[in-house]
Amino acid sequence: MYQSILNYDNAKYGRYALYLMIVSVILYIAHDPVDPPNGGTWLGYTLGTISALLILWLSWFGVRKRQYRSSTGTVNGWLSAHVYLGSSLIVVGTLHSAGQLGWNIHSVSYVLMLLVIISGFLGVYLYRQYPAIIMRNRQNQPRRLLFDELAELDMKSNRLAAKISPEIAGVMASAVNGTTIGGSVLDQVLGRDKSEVLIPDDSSRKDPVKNTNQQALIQYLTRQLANSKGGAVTTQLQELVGLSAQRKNLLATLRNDIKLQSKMQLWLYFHVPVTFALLAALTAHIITVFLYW
Amino acid sequence: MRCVIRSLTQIGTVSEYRDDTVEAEAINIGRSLDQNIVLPGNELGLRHARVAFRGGKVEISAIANNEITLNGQVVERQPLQIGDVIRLGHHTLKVITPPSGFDVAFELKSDRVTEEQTDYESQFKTSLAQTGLNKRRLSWLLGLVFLFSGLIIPFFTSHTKSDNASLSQWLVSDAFWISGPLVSAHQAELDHKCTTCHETPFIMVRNTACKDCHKTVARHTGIDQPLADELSQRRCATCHKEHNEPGTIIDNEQSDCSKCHATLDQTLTGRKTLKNVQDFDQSHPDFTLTLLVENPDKNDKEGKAWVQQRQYQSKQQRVKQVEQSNLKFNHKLHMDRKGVETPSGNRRRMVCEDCHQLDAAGMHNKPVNMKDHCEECHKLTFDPRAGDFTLPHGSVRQVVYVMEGFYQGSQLIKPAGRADLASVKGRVARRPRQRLNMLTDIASDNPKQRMENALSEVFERTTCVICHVVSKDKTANPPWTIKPVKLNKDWMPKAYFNHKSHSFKQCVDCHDSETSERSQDILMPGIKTCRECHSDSSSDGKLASPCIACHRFHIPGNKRIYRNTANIANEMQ
Repeated sequence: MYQSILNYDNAKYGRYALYLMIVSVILYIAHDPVDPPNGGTWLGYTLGTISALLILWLSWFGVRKRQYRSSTGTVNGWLSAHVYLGSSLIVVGTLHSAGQLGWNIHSVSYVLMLLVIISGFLGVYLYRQYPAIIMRNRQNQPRRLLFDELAELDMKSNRLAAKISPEIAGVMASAVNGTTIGGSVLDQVLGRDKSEVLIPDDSSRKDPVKNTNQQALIQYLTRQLANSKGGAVTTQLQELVGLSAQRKNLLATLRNDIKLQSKMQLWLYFHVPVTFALLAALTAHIITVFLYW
Repeated sequence: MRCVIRSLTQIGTVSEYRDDTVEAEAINIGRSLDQNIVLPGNELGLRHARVAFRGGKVEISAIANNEITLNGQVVERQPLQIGDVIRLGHHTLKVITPPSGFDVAFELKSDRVTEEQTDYESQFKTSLAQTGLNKRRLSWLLGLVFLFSGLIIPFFTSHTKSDNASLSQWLVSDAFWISGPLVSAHQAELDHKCTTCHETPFIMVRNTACKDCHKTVARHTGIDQPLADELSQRRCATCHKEHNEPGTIIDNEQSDCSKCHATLDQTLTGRKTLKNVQDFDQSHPDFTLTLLVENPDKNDKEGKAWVQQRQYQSKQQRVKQVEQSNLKFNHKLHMDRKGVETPSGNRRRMVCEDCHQLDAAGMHNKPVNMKDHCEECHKLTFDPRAGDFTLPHGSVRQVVYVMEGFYQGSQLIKPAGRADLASVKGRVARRPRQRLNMLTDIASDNPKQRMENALSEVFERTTCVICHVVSKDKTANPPWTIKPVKLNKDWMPKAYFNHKSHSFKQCVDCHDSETSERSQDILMPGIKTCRECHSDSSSDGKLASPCIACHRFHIPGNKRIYRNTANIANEMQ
């Protein structure tokens, strides 16, 4: 049974994170150092050590989730702890900084940490909302079956077009060949359709035209249908228009699927590299603090 | 209806099966996730078929126009028997004997979709991993950027001597490591050169770094006192913390003082003068005054006749404490609200600032002196026939010399008469009840006698003696001695008080000068007066005043911390 990572083990790690935050806040309020609160008091060092160890452990999740043989907890449990304890870092890390921010490596580490956590929140949202949206879009079909269906439709359309006329066969083939799905990062994320088709017209131009949503093809085919004089050709054209409409819908579903999938995953391309930046900045932060003790 | 579905999977030559049980009124089969048996595949409908009781028999029926192939025949609705094979897309459901307690059981087998059928997707870039984006590459790139800019480059620009100034100007310096602003004096003096103080990597800033500039810092105690060395060897940074906005470089934490001073009677046995102090509100003793006294050490090398001496006295003794300044002065008289008479005959109300003026630091008052503060009214005239000619405010000899000159040079001056006496009245400033018969006393025919009369008049009755203590020894020449006036400059030298920052108060709020008639009266306020506004904490609307509001840790006058070379050697290690 699917269980939300947020509810894992009755949100056990959520409770742990809450305790950690509450204890940190209480200590911070009770702590009355000689100087203004800062990262160099005993509480400052304590909170800093907890934060640094947490960051290392949270980063280790990237390793743990690939260790399929590992039996130290379940990946679900790790992810639940990752999310909750990661969130608690906002409080612990902020108290460690005591609000003393400036243009320096220490504040850079802090800002990077916040960026990682906030992008993590986005990830939690996407991973909770998008799978259902994606399944609804695909109507529970695996993507590979949709591609099978597309392959079949392409084949059927080409075969049928070949029966009608060489010109229509050429147009159909160029439409099939000119169909794009996915592509660059932006194409995927925006669900762009850059499809093109080569349609002969009176000026006998050879430049392909835009075939967004297969509109150019369908318009061409319906034009041909209107000009047809009945009989077998008309029936075949009607069937071809029907197939093209099916293709158009299927392509839209596929593009939407890729768009949703890429949107769901894009945050990780931020979350993970910024985590590495954070690890580097954190190293510099810790070393320099003691280098210039 | 209770149903068992046994799913068979074949991996290589190994077959595995899994049993799932479904309990529902009717078993729905289809692509949709809400079906009891979910079968993927485009060739199936979302809701494809249902299995239910009908007339006591288990029957399968197609939903809408979906196709069911039962034992090779396309059927719409058919009762099921053990051994029947149902074909749905690429899935095969075989009806098997149900275990006891179940109504029906199926064995599910799904044909594997071959590779060729799925190849179509590979013609397109359908996932982010296929684009130029690469988490691993991006991670390394960002990690290295921050490692170099945050650690490696600043380290090399600050710890290697580069001749190429124009290059290092563009590189990240160790200023990127600064954890908070420096106090302005350090900022101006150090010019962002971290290694001035942070001399050795991974070693806390040492006192020697401070000493390079702060050479004259005084010790907290005398060099022969207990804890003297321990105190002078503490890290400066224990109390003086840098890079910690919005703090100050000076630690003003009361507990740092009371840690030792609350129990001084235990640590400093034998020293009775330093009292235990825990706080200002309760345990701070009343102020101990420092008075000028005659030097008891007659062999003092510097030959000081007067020394400042703290008066450690009980509360009762303190009330009777008097000052021996050898000056006669009546504050009450001068502070009269109706004013005092001026030489021009008017009345003027005097204010404290007429005589007591702050020095530039605002700490103490400049010393009162005759010329600036008294002479305007108290003119040293001595004979109405001499007019405005006044005596010098100097030594006894000077006065005698000037008067001898006057009376010898004026032998022809006739003795003073009544008319002279009358003319004096309006011109000579007098104290109340001052005798006005001086002219009759000096009205002798013999000029020498006249002069002697005049001298004793000036020294003993009318002029000097009004403010000074004058003694007479007939055998001496000159016979008069005036006791030197010694005005105390600092009544509480162990504390720091700034008059300027208290200028919103009236002098008389703290110094009870309006009722004092003798110059022996000590007008210093007690601790009660301070406590009216100052307190340990600001909780009751008072001004929070830690120890260092009034006291210094590095006590001026003590020897320098770094004077002892042995200490410096220790520090260097």
